[in-house]
This record gives sequence, structure tokens and C-alpha cells, in this order.
Amino acid sequence: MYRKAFLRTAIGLAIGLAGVAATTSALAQAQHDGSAAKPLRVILVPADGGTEDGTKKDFQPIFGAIGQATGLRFDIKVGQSYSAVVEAMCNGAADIAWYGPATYLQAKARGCSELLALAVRHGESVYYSGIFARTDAGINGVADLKGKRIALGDVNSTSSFNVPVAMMIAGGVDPARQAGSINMAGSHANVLKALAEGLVDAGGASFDSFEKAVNAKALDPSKVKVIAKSTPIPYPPLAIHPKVSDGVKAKLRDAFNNVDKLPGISKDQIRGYGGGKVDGYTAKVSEADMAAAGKMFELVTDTVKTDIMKKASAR
Amino acid sequence: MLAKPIPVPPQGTQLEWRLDPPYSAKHLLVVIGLLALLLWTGHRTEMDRMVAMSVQAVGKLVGLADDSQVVRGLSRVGTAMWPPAISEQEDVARLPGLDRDRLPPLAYIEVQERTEQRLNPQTLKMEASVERTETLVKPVGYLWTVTVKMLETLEIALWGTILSVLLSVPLAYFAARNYTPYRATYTLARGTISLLRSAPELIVALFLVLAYGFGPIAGVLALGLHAAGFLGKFYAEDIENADKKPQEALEAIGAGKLKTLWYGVLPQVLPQYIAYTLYILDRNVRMATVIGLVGAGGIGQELKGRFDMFQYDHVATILIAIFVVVFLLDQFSARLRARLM
Repeated sequence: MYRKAFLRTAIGLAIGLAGVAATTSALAQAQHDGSAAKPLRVILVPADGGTEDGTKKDFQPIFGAIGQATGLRFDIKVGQSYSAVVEAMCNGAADIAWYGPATYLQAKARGCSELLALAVRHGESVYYSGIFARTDAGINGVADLKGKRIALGDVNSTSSFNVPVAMMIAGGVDPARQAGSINMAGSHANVLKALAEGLVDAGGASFDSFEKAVNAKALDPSKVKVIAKSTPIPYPPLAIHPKVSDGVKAKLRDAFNNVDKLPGISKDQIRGYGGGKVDGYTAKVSEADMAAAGKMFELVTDTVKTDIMKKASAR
Repeated sequence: MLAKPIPVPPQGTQLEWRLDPPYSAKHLLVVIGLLALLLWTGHRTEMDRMVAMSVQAVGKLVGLADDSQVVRGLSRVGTAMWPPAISEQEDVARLPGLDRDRLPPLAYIEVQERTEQRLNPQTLKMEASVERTETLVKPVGYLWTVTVKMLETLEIALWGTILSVLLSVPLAYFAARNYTPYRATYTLARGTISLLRSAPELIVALFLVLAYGFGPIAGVLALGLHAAGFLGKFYAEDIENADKKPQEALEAIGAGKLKTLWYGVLPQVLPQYIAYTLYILDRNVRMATVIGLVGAGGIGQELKGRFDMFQYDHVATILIAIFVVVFLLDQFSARLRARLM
């Protein structure tokens, strides 16, 4: 009798698993086409601070206007970690993503990302990252960072990790070996907060985050200064999955080029990186520019990252 | 009541007051060894620094020490957190289709002057500019936002709990030594329960976000799977420990295993089961507030976002909301248990 019950359970489990497998394969279809039944799935990273709702609000007007103009439907979601958004693009769970240049290049290397559009502000599509230091720490340049306490952000972050580390290496300082200590603070905000509290002597963050911290009165600008400014970094791009149909891609590119002229959207509603006001978007972006930015991160190899994380966990 | 008199020994008796020493040199050595071990691990976990810093902080508070990093750090964040944010403010220019004659209830429009500092990338100096913006103020807007998010968090916790109960009931049956049909099913069920419990919710949620996408599905599943590992173990152990006599009586009159469980075991273990399940609900509410950190729904994402935007007053509102919910849930479960037992 028990054997029968056991068999029944086993068969039930098998049927259940088969059902699970069937639904998974049914759900994991190809890319969506923007119809009402299969809206284009957009995933945004709340880069550089920003809440789920806030980041969504930054982009909803843009996608709303593009939807009106093209008839395409969008389903906007906000992710939390950079790596999770790359995974979502690469396993077919998203069609459009907005993330940092370094993240974009990771996804592109895996064949699941191509450029869609970049925000434009004052005719440019760039922002800056810097190494900031406390004025009382006696640091005037990258070379002075030797032996100092340094804070960095998320290991996948372009402007609070990759670019500052690249600047240190280019300036002849090996952070993993020559820094006094390294603190992986997790985000731009935490780096700047650690600087404000005097827990570290220097740290990497974007100029935008620095401004945000000063405007929120979380940081006194007379106590912290820029000791290194990066070359211009391309704005975090909007990327599209290469398998989305060419017709949809063309429609989207056209709409992004004209987003500032579309009906149903005002100038104030067009936002970009960190929720900042931008003039519009351009789809005339070259992979070459992005790849050139990638050269900046080439100094930051996986070995360098591992060494820095090892240093950060050592006491 | 009469107290018994204390017996007095007869005159001239030799009294011997010697007691055997309770501790020997061996015990002393063990104690010294343990102390050394504690000192060593205490140093490794920086407990010595913690004590020094805390003493310094207390010294600063009573005016004996000049400076304390702990007081500085806590007081700055503390000041920034007070008062908690209640209202919500939005730039009018960003709101599509706002009808000025029909504002949302209680809301009003006000012109605000904000000094924005920008870091000039060429000169690397800060430049201040004054911006006048029309702002829509909703006096209790943020409270409302937090309430809605908290509700979503509670829903995630509730469904996580329901899922864990559904999963752990069959698991407990197979993991109870006296009911599982085979030794293999026992080991398998026990293994599954340990596996589910060993992976922390936050890590499970990280993986599930990759599988199910961002949102509450990953949160509910993560909470449900982890809690099933807890409930399965406790449900099973209560079945094993239940009084055998009612079960023997039922078996003697020909009741099957399920009937014995239903009539002989369940009435005994039900109060404990309710207590465990309520504890899991409580735990899931608290965990649901953090799984949002990895994008699995709930209020966690809002909390982290506000932290990253340096809006500590908003953080304070969220923390208070979490406390209120956990407290109310505790009151509710205490009443429910009092009524059921």
C-alpha cells in the first residue's frame, strides 16, 4: 500500500516537473515584438542612486511618447544589480535595457546587446567620473594615493569603480598593493558618505553623484576636492537585444532621434542619467565610440578586480 | 504556621565545617583556556575596538571625551533623518496632463527656490545656480506611497508563508521517522529540508530574479522556499514527538496512517504548528523588507534608493513603517494564539 502511495507521489512529481518544463519553454520564447500581447520588456538600472519608482518616472514619459508615436507597447521594470540586468538581457527576459557603458560592453561581449540610443545634453553625450579626496588628507594627485584609505563603489559600476581604478593604474598606483586600505562601499552614495564622515581619505564617484551629495547637504564641498578627472565617458546607453526585429529597431531609432519633438512630451520630462534633464536622445551612436570607452576599462582586468576585492576583505 | 526549630548540636560536639572544593586546578585551566580563546576571537572580530569606541562615545556624551567617531557618524545621520518625510513633492513641469483646476485631494502648487550646485568639469569648481520651480506638494503623499509599498511587502510575506506551509506539509510527512514509508524517502526529505534552509533568502532571491525577472514572484518564492526548510523540520519533529498512545489506539481499531495523523497527531501538534507558522509570517515580513535590495519586490528597493539619494528623512519614514507593521503583527499573533489555545 505504501509502495503504491510512493509510486503515486513519484508519478505526480514527474507530471509536475514535466508541466514546469513545458511552461518554462512556453514562456521563454523569442524576443517580443512590441504588440499588446508581447510588449517590449524594458529593464532600467537605478544607476547612481534613484529609487525604483523614481527611475521609472524618469523614463516613463519618454517611452509613453514613443509608444504613442509608433504604436509599440512597453513593459518597464527596474532592476537592482547591474549583473542581474545583463543576465535578463542575455537569457531572453528583456528586449531593451538601460545600463552603464561597462555593463553594456559586458553584455555586448556575450552577444546580447547592441546600441539603441544615448541621451544628449548641450550637444554632448558624455559625463565625468573622478577621484575625490578630503582636503585635509594631503592628496593632490593620483600619485599621493599610495598608503591612503580608498573607497570604491560596486565592482560593475563604470564611474565609481572601473574608471577611477583605471585612472589610478594609469597614474602609476596599483590600488590592490599600494593603497593603505580599500573599502568596497557598494555605491556612489556610500563612497561619498564615507568621505564626508572621514572614514576614508579618497574615493571614486561620478561628478553627478558628487553634485547630488552636495545638494542633499550630505557632503561639504569645502572639505572634499577633485584630484583626478576622467576623460569624457559616454552616457549610459539604452541597448536593444540584437534579435529584436529590424522593423521594430528602425521604428525605435527614428522615434528616439525625434523624442524632443514628439507630441505628448515636454522638455522637462526628457530625463537621462541620474534623472538629470537632457535635451533629447540620439540613435546616431557608433559602437566604435563605445569601444573606445571600453579601452579605458581594459586596464581593469578580472585579476585587478579580484586583487582589489581580496584587499578589501583583508583586515 | 509553626517553623521547625533549627537543630542545635549537643554541647561539646566537634563540628566539621570542611566542604569539598568544587573546582580543581583542571577546571581553572579550562576556564583560562576558554578566556584566551574568547580574547583571541574577540580581537579578530574587533570587539576590543568596539568597546574602546563605545566608551569614547559615552565619554563624549557626558562631556569627558573631546571627540567620538561613533557620535559624529550617528548624530549626523540622525539629524538628517529627523523629521521623517511625510509629504511628496514633484516638479509640475514633469507631470504629464496635470489639471491645475483639479488637483489631487489636499495637494497644492507652490513655487520653490532651490540652490543647485554643479561641479564644472572644466574648472573643477562648484558653481551655484538658483532654480525656481513650480512644485506640486502632496502633504501626506510619501506616507501614502510607503503605505502602498508596505502593503505589497505584506502581500509578498503572506504568499511566501502560504507557499512554505504548502511545501512543508508533505515534506514533514516524509521527514517524520515514524510515518515515512522508506528509509530513502526519510533521507531525501531531510536532505531537501536542510538544503532549503541552508540558502539565505537574499541569495535565493538573487538567483530567482534571474529566472523569473524583477518583481514579487522572485520574492515570494525565495521566502517560501527558505521558510519551507524551517517549517518542514519543525512540523516533522513535532510529529515524531507526539504522544504515542492515541496513535496506538487508532491503529488498533484499524485506522490508516493518514487517519491516525489526522485524529491522533494533528490535535496534539496544532497549537505548536500555529505558533511556528505565525513566527514564519513575522520573519517573512521582516525579510520581505530587505529582499527588495536585489529587486525582488517589496519596500527594500525604495529603502536602498532613498539611502543612495541621501534622503535620510525618507529612510526614517520607511524604518518607522516597518517597525509599526512588525509590532502590529506581533500583537495580532499574540491575540490569535490566546484565542486558539
